[in-house]
Amino acid sequence: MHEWPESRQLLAVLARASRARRARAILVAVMRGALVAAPVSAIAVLLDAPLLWAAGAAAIVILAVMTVAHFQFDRSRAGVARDLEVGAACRNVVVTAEALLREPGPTPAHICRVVIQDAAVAAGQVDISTRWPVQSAAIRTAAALVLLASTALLASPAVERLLPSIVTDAASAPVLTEVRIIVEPPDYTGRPSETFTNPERVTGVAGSRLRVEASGPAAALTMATATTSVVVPRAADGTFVHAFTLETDGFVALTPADTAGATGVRRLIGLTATADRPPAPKVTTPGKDLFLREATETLAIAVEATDDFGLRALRLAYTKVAGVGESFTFTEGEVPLTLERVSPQQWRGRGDLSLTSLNLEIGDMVVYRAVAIDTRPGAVPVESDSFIIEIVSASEALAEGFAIDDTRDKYALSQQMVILKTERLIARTKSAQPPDAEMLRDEALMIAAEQRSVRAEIVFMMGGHFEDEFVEAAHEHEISDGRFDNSGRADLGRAVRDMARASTELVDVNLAAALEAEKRALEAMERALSRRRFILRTLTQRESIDDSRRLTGKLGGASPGRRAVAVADVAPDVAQLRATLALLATLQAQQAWTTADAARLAESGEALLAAAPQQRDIVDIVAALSSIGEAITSADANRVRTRLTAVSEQVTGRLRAVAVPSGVTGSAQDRRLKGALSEALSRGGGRD
Amino acid sequence: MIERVCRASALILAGLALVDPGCSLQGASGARVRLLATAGATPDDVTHVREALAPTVDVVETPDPEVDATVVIGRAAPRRPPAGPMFAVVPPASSTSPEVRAIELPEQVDLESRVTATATVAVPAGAAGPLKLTLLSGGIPHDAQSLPIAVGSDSVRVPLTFVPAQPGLTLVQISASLPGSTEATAVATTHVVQQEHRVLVHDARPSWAATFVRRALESDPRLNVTARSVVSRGLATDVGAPPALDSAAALDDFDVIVVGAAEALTPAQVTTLERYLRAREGAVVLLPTDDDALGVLRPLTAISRWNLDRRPALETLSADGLEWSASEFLWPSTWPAGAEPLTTCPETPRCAVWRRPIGGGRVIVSSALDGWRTRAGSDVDYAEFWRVQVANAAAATPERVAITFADALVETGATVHAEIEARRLPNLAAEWQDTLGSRATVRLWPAGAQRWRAEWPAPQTPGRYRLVVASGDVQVSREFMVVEAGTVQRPLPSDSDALALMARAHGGQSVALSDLAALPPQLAGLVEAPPERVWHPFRSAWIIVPFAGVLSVEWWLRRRRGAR
Repeated sequence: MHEWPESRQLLAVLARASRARRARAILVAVMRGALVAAPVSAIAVLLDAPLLWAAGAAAIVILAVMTVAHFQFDRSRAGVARDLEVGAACRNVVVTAEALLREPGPTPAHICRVVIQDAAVAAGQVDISTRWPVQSAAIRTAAALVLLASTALLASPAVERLLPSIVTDAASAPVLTEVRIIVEPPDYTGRPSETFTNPERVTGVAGSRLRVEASGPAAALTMATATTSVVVPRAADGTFVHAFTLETDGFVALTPADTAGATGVRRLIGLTATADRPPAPKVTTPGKDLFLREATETLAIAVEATDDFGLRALRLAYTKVAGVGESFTFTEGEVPLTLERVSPQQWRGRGDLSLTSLNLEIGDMVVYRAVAIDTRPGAVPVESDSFIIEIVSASEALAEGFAIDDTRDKYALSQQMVILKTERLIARTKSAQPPDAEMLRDEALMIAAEQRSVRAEIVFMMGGHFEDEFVEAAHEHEISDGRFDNSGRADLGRAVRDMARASTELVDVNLAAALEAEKRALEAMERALSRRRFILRTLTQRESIDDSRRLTGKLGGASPGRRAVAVADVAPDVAQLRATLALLATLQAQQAWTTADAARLAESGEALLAAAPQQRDIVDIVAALSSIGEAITSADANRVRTRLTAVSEQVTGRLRAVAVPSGVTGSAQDRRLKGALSEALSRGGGRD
Repeated sequence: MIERVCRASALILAGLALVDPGCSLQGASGARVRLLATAGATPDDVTHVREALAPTVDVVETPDPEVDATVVIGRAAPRRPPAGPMFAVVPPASSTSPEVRAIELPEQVDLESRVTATATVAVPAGAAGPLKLTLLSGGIPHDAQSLPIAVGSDSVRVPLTFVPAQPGLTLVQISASLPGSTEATAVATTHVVQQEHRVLVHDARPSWAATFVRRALESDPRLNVTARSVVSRGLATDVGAPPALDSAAALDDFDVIVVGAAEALTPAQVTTLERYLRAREGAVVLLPTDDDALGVLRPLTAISRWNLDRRPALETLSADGLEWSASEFLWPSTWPAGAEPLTTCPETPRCAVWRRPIGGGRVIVSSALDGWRTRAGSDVDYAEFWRVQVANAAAATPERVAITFADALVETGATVHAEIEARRLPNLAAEWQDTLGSRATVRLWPAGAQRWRAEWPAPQTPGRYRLVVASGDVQVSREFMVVEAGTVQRPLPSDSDALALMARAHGGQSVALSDLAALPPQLAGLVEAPPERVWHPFRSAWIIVPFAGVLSVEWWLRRRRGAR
């Protein structure tokens, strides 16, 4: 039966149909698998799973679908015949012929041949390529595979921005994709330029030039700082460039806009201006005050200076102070230094100060200090701590390093003490071992200085001093003539003049005359400071009393005072921080964000800046708020969530610092119970 | 034969029906037990207990006054002890993860304040590694701490800070975790309010202390300061419209009264202040300036004698990180009962500012006479100290209408419990409202002088609601929140001792969840003699079925053999 030509013809058709049918089934299975795998892969990508995982999941899904199709597919020849019959006008003859070919049974051969012949004719009329269109199936399968592969692109940031996002509707807002800030420090610092890309805060030396370069799909850009706002034109290369000088802490806000004028999310960058510290000079050797008996030596002095950027000069300056009483002379000078430049930021110098050439006498002193200037243009000289070299008497020289506070000693002095010291000195001159002339003179000079100190106290108490005590003394008769109505003041005046005389006599080592004058001064002081007397002094115009500002008046004219209740407002930055925190909580609870949310964040940031434009942490918070707005615009849900948490911590930290602690504990019932307990205990006595 | 049997059976049944015999049955114990789940009980725990008890007792889970006993399942005692006998089944604590035992949070906080929420966290035995604690509100972290666990400690108590963002009921969540363990969370609520407390500063004569305290208070946005300084007889300087200290009713509008030169008060004024403390339950701050005539304050201070102490040097006084100093003190000869220190002084074992309760009110006394002298130092917190003390005292003074929820976070299906205190307000009416405008009247039940109690089933829809209490033009509201049952994790208290005590006090006992076998016999023993039930089967209507059955068989057999 199989040898019949009709049979071979039918079998060939069935074989061809079987191949086409199987090929199409495979393609359809792959296509279905890809279609099912595509959403699986997309979800995996959106959930930030690695691409390999997404591909593996897709492959598993495709294989699963193909496996199911494999077991459902009837691969037998009978199945091919049945499928061939579908849609063709074969009247079941193909199926019958295939059955006869497979198992003729008792059917007569001639009938079999007729049936097979009819089946071959019918099968031959069927267009296999139309019945099982492999080409179209292949195209569809390819399309499904492309769709599946395209899900991997969801992980690409570029595609993320292009695709409609599930978290925002803000893809069309003008936005800055990149902001570069080039910080050019002042030339004198010698530091190189720094470039910051998409920074949240930029730090530079005060006086640095900041060049801001922004790029992105925007038609215009408004660049604002705490003091200015400029509209930056778009350059030919599509960027926005603006430069300004960094003077103080603050911010720069960049607001893009499209051609219609609609503004995008503002980016705010905090600015920190680091001040150029002044140089720090110091005297390293000898680095202490010196009290010398004679000014005959040459003093070796070493100085040093450091600066954060660089030094321009280092000098050793001195001032010679000579004279006594109120007659001092000051002479300025410099000591030549041998400089050693350890680095541009650290200089050392050595010099010799010849005291001989300064012609110093006892009581004179030299004040010396290091002076440094840094390289900043217009910088003023900075002086180190000053040290003194004082030429003192022999007794003072011996006490070097053990003397009590000179000023305190002076405050402790009184006219009585001056008299006592003078009497002692006189007594020593009459003793068995009198001091030599030089020592006597030194000690007399010391007492003279103390006498001047006491006199200065009295002059201060009187509210003024005499420009020339000798001239003043020459007019003493005016006092006795009654020019001064108040005798207390007159007595004080006499005391002052007697003290001046005593001082003069002591300088001349005329001890007896000095003692007499000291005692007269004491008597005058005792009269003047009697408790029964007032010391009046004239007041300058500036010191005069304004009677209109004194609480004086008649009791009958007194009336109750009344003023309105003071209203204290919450600090604006605190109130705005609290509002910002509430907004952040609202956004944190959302699953998706829109441009309206970004706008609310921008408004909140503007209000914060208006409340506290110069506070660094506020500027940082506003910068973080604007970065959340950008993350919303760029549909980066993870970044939005992370940023929300971070800026919330900043805001709560700031609020924690300014909010007052609440100490309310317990309920009203607790308080009543405490009150009842307290009273019950009170009835039984308190505790010690 | 069968016919006869059937006929005889019918006759016997009829006869027995006439006799109506009864038989005695000794059934189950008959005890009806209610299961009540509290914090720490999971649904599985409740199911486990129900299955263990069901063979022995009748188990109900709804409030039923007829129950013989209540079985509390959980680690917390119920808010209200049950009326009858009570047993407790305590689930075990976690042995691997930390548990938030309690969150101490004021019921009401001011929007302008910084609130300390103290969390008590139990750590499993032998736990190692730092315990990480985070306080969140509205999903936002407010504070986080990581602290080591001391060897041998089974719990830690950690203060965490929370800054309110907006008024209203606020949820505060504490999360605790150890390395390698699951995170434990618990939620507490507080009412954030933005209200201006009214303060009266009364200077019995001009004094520096009251002047500088008043100036400090006037700079606080939370406080509205009215003041009177009596400068002479019949002559005073007023800020606003202060009332005289003659009528306690006139002082009702004030939350705190600050009295400067308190020794110059008259006995009548002291009596008025005492009435204010007891009736209004407010706070009075006494700032004496001298030790003369302080006896007049005895009704308020309970101190009969004071000792003036002038120190040679300034002594630093501190309170919660705020420091100031003074050198002149007025020490009580005997400290009154119930006195609480508000400052500490390292040099002096006595407190310069202290508080004493009187009724529901509080008297705050400053024993530091000259603290105002050093107020201007850069590191001196004199003004801040008084702002905090007065603001806290004002916040503790109850409002004219105070609404207190037993728990402002209610699960669907539970009951909302509220207590209302209203002072001198007639015709109170209450209703709850939702955010969409729906409202329902709430019945108020008298619960004492000027107190009312309200209970109503929580709304079925989760969300924010508020209870509004009105009397004439006065209207006060407070929020409560309804959540799905089981969606909120509460602190898991470890008051198993208290639970056991409560159970013993109610005639029951406490058993561990793993030791449930001991419970059914005790519950069965609640009914002293199990009721003897007499069963009368012939009183049942079903007896007609066998009677009709045998008659029908007998009739069918007769018809089959041809008989009629």
